[in-house]
Amino acid sequence: MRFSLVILSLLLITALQAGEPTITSVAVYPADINLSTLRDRQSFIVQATFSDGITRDVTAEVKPQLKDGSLVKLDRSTLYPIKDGATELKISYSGRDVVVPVVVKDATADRPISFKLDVMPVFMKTGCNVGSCHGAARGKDGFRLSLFGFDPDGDHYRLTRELNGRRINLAVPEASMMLEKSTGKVPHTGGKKMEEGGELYNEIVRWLRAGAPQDADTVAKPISLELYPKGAVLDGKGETQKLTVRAKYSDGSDRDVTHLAFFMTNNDRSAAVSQEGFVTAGERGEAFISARFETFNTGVPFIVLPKGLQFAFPNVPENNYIDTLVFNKLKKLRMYPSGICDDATFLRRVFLDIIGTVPTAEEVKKFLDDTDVKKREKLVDELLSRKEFVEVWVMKWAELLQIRSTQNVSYKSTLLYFNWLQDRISNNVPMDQMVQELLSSKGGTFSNPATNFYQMETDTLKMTENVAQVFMGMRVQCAQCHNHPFDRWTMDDYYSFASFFSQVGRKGAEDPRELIVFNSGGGEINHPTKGRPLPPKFLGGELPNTAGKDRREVLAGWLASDKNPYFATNLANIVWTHFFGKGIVEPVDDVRVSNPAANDELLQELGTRFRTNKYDFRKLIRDICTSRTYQLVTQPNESNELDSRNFAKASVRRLRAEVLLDVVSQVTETKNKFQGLPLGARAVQIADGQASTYFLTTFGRATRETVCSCEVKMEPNLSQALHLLNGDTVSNRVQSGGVITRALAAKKTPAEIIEDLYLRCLSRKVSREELNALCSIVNTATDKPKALEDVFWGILNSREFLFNH
Amino acid sequence: MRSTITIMMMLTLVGLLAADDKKITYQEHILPLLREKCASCHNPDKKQGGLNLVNFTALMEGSGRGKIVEPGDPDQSTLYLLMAHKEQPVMPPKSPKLPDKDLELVANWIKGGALESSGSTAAPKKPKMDLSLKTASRGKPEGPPPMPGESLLLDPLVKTPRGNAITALAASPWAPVVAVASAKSIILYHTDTQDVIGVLPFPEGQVNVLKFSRNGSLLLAAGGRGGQTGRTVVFDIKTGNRVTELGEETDAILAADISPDQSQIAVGNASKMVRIYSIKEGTVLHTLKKHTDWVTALEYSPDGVLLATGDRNGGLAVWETASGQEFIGIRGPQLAVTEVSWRPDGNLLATSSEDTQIRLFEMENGNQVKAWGAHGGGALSVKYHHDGRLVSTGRDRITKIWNGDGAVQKQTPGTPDVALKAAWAFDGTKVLTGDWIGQVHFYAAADGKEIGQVVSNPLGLDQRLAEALKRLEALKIKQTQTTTTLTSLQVTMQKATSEFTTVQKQSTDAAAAVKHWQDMVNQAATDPTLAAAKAAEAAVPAKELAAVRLTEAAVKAKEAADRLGTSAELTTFALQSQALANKHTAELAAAKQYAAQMLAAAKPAQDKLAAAHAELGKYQVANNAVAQQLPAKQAAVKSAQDQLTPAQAAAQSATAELQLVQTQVARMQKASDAMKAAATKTTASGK
Repeated sequence: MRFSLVILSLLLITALQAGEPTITSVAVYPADINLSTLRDRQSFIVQATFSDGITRDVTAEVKPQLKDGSLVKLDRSTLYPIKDGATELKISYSGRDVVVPVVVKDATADRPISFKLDVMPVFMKTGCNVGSCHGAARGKDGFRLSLFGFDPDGDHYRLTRELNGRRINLAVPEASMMLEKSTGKVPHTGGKKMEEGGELYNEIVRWLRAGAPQDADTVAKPISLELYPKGAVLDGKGETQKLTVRAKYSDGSDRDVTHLAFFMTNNDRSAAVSQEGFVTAGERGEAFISARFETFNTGVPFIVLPKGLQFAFPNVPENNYIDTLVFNKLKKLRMYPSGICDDATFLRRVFLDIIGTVPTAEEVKKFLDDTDVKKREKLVDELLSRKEFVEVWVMKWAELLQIRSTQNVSYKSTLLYFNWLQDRISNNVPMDQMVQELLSSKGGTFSNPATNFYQMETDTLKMTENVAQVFMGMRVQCAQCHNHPFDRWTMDDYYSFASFFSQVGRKGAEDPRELIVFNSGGGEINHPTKGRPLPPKFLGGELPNTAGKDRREVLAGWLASDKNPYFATNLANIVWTHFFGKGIVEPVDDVRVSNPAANDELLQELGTRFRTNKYDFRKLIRDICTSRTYQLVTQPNESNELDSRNFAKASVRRLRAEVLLDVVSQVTETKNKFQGLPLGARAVQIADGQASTYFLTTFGRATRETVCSCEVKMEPNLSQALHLLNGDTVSNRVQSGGVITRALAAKKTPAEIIEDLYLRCLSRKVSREELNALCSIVNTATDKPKALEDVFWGILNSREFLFNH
Repeated sequence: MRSTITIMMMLTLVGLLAADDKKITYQEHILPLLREKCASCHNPDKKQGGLNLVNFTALMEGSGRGKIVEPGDPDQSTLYLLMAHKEQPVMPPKSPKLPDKDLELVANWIKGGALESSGSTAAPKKPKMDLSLKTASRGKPEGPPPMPGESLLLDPLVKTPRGNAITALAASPWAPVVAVASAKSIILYHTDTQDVIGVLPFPEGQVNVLKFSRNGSLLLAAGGRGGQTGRTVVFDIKTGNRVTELGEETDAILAADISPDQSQIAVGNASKMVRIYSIKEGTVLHTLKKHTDWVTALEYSPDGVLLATGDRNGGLAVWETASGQEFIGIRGPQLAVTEVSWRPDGNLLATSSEDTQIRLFEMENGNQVKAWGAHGGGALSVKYHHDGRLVSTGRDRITKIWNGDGAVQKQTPGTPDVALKAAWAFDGTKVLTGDWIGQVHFYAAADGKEIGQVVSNPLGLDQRLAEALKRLEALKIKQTQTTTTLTSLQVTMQKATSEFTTVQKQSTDAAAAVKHWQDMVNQAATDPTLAAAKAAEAAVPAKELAAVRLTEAAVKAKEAADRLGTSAELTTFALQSQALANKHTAELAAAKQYAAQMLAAAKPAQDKLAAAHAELGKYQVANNAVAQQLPAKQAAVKSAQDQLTPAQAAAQSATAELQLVQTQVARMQKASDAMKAAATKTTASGK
């Protein structure tokens, strides 16, 4: 955070002053160096930041000075202990001095080899225990390691005693098959994984020489992981930055684990990272470089710019805080936003997004003719008060809550649940209250429909996963069987979170379709490898006192509240995604360390405001829709054409199934009949996820079988295109709706009709060229009504109609 | 370094290194390379891409895409192009390119016409070896049981601070020999003395299987380098020579056995196949395909007709060895089968498996007749003894001896780590258990107590020799000590005995003297003079009395006559009385004289008797004194005897031990000298 502020201020300065960039700061990582035991060491890196925001790894250029050279040995940029004591490391670069305190402890004592601390990380580093190799559930070629090392005790057994004497050789450690295979001395399906005589190899040999011991319980555990530098802006292809990783342990010690950490990048093209911890800049772009060690994942943002890029951010007005934060990020990336869209585009976009319909021809005309400078804000406010707005969001929530009749969930329950949701949203009940009500609900599914939350999913673990995914945006499923490979969640976290749902009681009611949900006050869920239940603990939070309380109430009080750092941001992100087609965290329900937010400052600010506005999501939507960022055109400019994640331009989005059907019905003036709804109801209003039509299914309506954001399918496909071209939906409705017939009956000219079709379907005035071309076709046609219907059909099949842009 | 030299030396000794040949051939040069680098995928079982590189014909046939070698033209040969990274997909995948010299070798081989062997047309010549037994000596051999002779090495090839897990352990069925898997070798121990009596080199890699032939004369060792090669080697136990080598496996062999008639060897490994090789031809007779996981256990039935196999997934199969067909389907184990063992009559098969169970199967219908949980955590080994008892061990670290019906007879104390393999000493008096840290524990079958221990990493010969010499010195000292003790005890014994004898003699003498003098006394007492004297003496008092009385009467008569004086009669009477008195007095005197004469005559006899009495008294005293001494002397003799017996035994055993150690030292000395001589030679030839 501080780092980004520094960058930010630097960028501001850059904008003001031209000329040669100057050094503005020099940082040394880590900021303190602790060496304990003979085997310890600590590498450090020196990063200089320039006035144009560029950073450079200057570690190799500095001359570090030790105040007391008798305590530590300095070899290039790594310190080794010699003697106990405290001293300082002074680093000078370009007239700036940085002093790093150095403490040496137990300098002559050897650190005993530890299986968990020294050997296990090797399997992660070399990729032995990944899912495609020995980490697979059934292992590989007869040998299994726990996936990403979630079960070190089991791995110790499998290595040493599962097949006694095959995998390790205590008499001649170097002849151990595990070493012969991993160094490629004998054929190994996985190829060569480590160098003979290398550090990783030697650690394993050391362990074997010691008799392949298992760790005592007293061996320290890692408690945190630090990855340095905290970020970098690299100037051009080929620029490099060294990383250093430090782990802290439960005994207060720390270790340089750069050689044991597994490095990953989410953008190999822009910033490739080697397993030695060197980032090399590639093409322009952003990358998230992360390090994995033990159960920890931590990452830092990297930006790669073209070498010597000249850039000046144009003067773009900012409507609100959203614009400020989005533009800040764009400045960092040397990008500027596309232009602002015209009124017609905005009108159609905001109608489709907020209420899921297109404006009527009259509404278009009225808006386009309005000269009020605040007309866009006015429109947003007006739309937010319409009932269709509520319906759109009821639908979205119904997807998240899986409102769907099944063999076990009666249609009546489904309907009651849907109505309950509709009631809450139309009354603008704050989101936190609504979620709390859901989570702590008790009683019959008819008398208190919120309890349906516990009927839709009855499996405790699935319930746990759904709650985390829907309300916190996290997929913790992985941690059911092993520590999450790309996130911080361990099996312990998973099962202690699941404990909140282990005491949900369910029993039948008088009406066989009803279910009564209550607090059973008993029941536990066992941790599979530990074989005992864990006390309820908030995911990433504290261990609350649940004795004698309804665990769900305790959870609801935390989860849907300010105390949960993920709740507000997650909801804000869900809302944001609806309006931009892409989340700040994407996908919305996959918040994890290795999937960082595209713009964390923005996400945090949205969350904070959502909280301070008492979880009023209409306010949030108003902020979003009135921001300039929302109103940008979809056309890229030269600086942002490759970007898709930073909201520098609007995205082109296909209309989702329900909205598309509603809009087609709306413009063709036809009516739909859905199960349980009156004729003419909108697809958005369908309560039951089970109910669908061919059209809706083809266009990817959510079946609501899972809570996944991927349930709603937005990808276009061939059957969609064919259905629109040849299916009954479009061409039948063009005829049966009678729009053309009535217009002709009203003695309208073809030109007038075409103008109306454009307004009604595309929310804009037809251009002169379009009108001329279409008129000439219609006028030369023998069957004019048919020709006009063809025009209507053509418009409905145009991409301009099918997409929100 | 020294160990590598030793290995090299051994390789030379056993004739593994072929003489240099100018021709580059598949068999000699290319196959080893392919096996090392490519065979894990391109083997007869996996055949990745339809390609098998470990068989010349198959290689020349090529892969699914066609021919891969164009003899004479490396650049037209896919094999070379892929290996040299000149074409995609590069091989081996995900690994660095092979060293240039290897690539050059392949290129030159192709250039040279891609020859198969030095004969270039002939089929590969396997060393033909007929070990098959025509006569029925499948059981106990005639004559002395086969023991390792003096030609065997005694120095372990690799000396390591830690032992390797006992991956294989086999005891000779007829001799006090146990074979223990060691690093790249097999150590033979004597089951009585626990001495190293032989080291068999196994440079092929890790030893996973050890099996004695049914007559105890051959030892089969199998194993290899995990993921690369598998090989079986048969050693002659007496000479330590390799009599045959078989198997072209691409992964270490996990299970193997030699058929009782010594005509076949069956092997199993991670390829899931069981292959039966003909020892004579060196070819594969049968490839048995049924197992769905690694083959981890197999054994021929005692008559050699059947072969039982087990896999890592708990699968079991019994095959006919002649036809290679499955004989009977048996099932039971839920987890990996760790060992199979036939009862000597061939009617029952015992299996141990990771599901803790030992199971017995009959061969009529393949039914499981008995199953019991034997070892918590997993049963890892089970073996029948000649008499139908079973020994087993497992992850609970305890070795158990079972009756044939599964009732536990004896249990041993636990090993320090997981116990892996158990075996019977040939005579059934001991069971042996090898564990994870490389110790082999010896237990008495009678009570289950631990009676000894050896390790998979014995000290070097020199060290052992030095220790034996030290022991020898100690034993010599001990022997001297026991001898000295014995001698001194013998002296004591002698002295005690002689003293006892002396006293005994004295006693006898004294008794004789007593008797003699008693006789003398008796004899003296019977002398007639003594009786005569006595009689003469005895006559005196009567005479004296008569004389006295007559004298008195005469006196009285005279007095009476005197007083009365008047009576002649009286006077006459007085005179007559006087005369009578006088006569008797005279008679008395005569008697007295006679008595005196007789006494004088009896005097010598009297004296003699007195003297005899005196002598008798003296000897009687002496005899009593000696009789008192005798018990003490006797006790002394007994105590000396008591000390002497154990001392004698000690001295004997010390001597025996000394002799044994002397023999051992001599054996070791010889081996050590031979080793040094060989080393000098190697160094010299190396220069």
